[in-house]
Amino acid sequence: MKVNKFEMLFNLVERWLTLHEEGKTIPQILAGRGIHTISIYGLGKIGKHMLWELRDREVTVLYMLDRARTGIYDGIPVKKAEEELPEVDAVIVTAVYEYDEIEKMLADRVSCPVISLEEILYEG
Amino acid sequence: MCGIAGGNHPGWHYEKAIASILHRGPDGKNVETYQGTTFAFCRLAVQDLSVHAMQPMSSPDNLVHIIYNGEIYGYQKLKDDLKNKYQFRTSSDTEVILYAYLEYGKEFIDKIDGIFAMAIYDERVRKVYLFRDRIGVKPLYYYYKDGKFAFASELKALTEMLDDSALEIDTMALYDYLFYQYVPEPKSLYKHIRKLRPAARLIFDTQEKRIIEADRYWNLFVNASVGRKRKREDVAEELRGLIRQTVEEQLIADVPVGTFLSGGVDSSVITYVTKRLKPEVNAFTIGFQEAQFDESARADAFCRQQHISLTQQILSSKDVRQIRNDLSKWYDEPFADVSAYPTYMLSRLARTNCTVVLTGDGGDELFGGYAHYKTVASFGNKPEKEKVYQQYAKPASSVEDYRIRWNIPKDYDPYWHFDQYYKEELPVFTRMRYMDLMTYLPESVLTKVDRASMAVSLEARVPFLARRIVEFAFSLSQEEYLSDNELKGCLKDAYKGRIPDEILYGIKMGFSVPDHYFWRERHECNMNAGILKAQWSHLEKAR
Repeated sequence: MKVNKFEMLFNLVERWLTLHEEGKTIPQILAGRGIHTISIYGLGKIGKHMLWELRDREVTVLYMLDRARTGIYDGIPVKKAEEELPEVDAVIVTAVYEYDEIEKMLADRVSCPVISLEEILYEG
Repeated sequence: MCGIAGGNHPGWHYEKAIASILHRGPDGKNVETYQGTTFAFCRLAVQDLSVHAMQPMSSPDNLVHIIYNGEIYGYQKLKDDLKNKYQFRTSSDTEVILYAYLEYGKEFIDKIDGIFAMAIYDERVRKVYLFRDRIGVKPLYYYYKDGKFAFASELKALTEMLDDSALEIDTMALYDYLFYQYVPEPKSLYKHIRKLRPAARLIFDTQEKRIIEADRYWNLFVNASVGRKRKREDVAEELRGLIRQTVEEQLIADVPVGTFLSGGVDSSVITYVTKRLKPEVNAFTIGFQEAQFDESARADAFCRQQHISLTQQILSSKDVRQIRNDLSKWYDEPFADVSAYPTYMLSRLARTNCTVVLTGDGGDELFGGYAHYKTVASFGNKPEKEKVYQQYAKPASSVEDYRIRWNIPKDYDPYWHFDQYYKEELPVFTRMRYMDLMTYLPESVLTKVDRASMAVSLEARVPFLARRIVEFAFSLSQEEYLSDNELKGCLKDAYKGRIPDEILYGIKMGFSVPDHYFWRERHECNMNAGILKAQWSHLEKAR
């Protein structure tokens, strides 16, 4: 299980780098899909990198979602899924190895699409 | 500690710039130019006193150069990791940073903790990198206009370095000052000179002559949860361990180290832990002739009980009057925290015996120690913001006259700075701690301590503001750090039975100065306006 998780993350980062080499960015891909406001699920390293990439760009991160924590990070609210969640165009899941469970858990809590970061990167 | 300065314009006065801040580093100075970029440095020798640790320090191939003001802590593991590949010539932390940069690039910053402001010039990519520590203990200013770029530890070094034509007064920044007690970052007194924010990294491309990156390299997670999840004794034990580990790291120096002791909780904790690790430590305190402002008796009793050697001085209004006009000399722009005077006197006292002191700064912001937090909490959960902000400084009645004089638009909101960090989603005490951590702490408290101590070439270290303690403190829920609704409850829990209750639960004073010392400034109803009028009168006419 642990090996799979790291392999998955390695592939994800490798794909992210490839996109950068091709001059494509996550904000461009999201904006291309008509997504302008998002929530990032996951406050791990990948979530933090994604927040970094979206800073001062055409897509706004309204809040972040985390399984265990509630607070603020980089001035952005961090919420748990059971709290009241403001509307966004999409929730992007950075904990890609748990995407299925997270999507199921969020299904009746948000009305927007719940998308895996993997899907965004491979679409680009 | 040291002073740094530099820039990319050949006509500027780098020698004069570094000479103006020699108080930061009286043990030697040096100016070098690499491909048109000049680095100037003055040294306060604290670790590795040999000439080999002088700066600018260059890589073995002479292509990467560093000047650095500060100390990094706990770097032994990083040094061990680098030892196989790099041959160390000194025992200074500067060399560790230099090789860490060579090994990891600009991300090396994630591997170090400490108090620092530094500049690295990498000839291979023709870029200057500026870094400032996470909380903003050490200062760094930069100038940028029309492709010209300069930086320095203090504003006075830039005003010496640059041509007068580059120095244009920013009246909007002056107007802001009236609402805080400092010019809020990133602004400075001058239009094109900015303060590099805490935890910021700035990259200047010397070929393209432009800033290509200016952003934070570190962010803090702030816990917004309510209720207690961790046991009170577990929090206390972990905190005690973190403080001990940090003080141990910060005691490393090749010169004498002492402590500042006000008689309050924070400085007593630091002094207590230091005594356990370094039994011969000296503590220093300042008292006032006015009994209601004087904590020196409490400090004295504590030191007798703990067998700590204490050096103290009692101040009178006459002592302060002798240095009353020195604020403008130390701070280079309007600054109205008058506890700078006793901090300066205390630094001067400590300097007779030490080169380094440990202080208790940061404890109030980390663990919720300010009494006005209770006042704000009494306003309800979502009080009017202006009411909260005015806990820090009530604007003087003359503020409208200044607005008109300086042509400030009527709809200008001077509270833009507080607004950035006032987060209503946080519980009220945590909200105030976070706002203070991002504003009042670096811009008032730490600025005050840095300039007042550096004015006498004394290095002040701040153990509470080590990364591990800051992250721990802000990971606690409101109930976890306010045990039994007691301000700084978790810190008091950690040292109960070790430090006397009179100190842990007594009335807090710090180094507050008796009001009547400043009767002239107080005529203005507000110290900010009073100091402006008394020490910066020429700025009142600025346009």
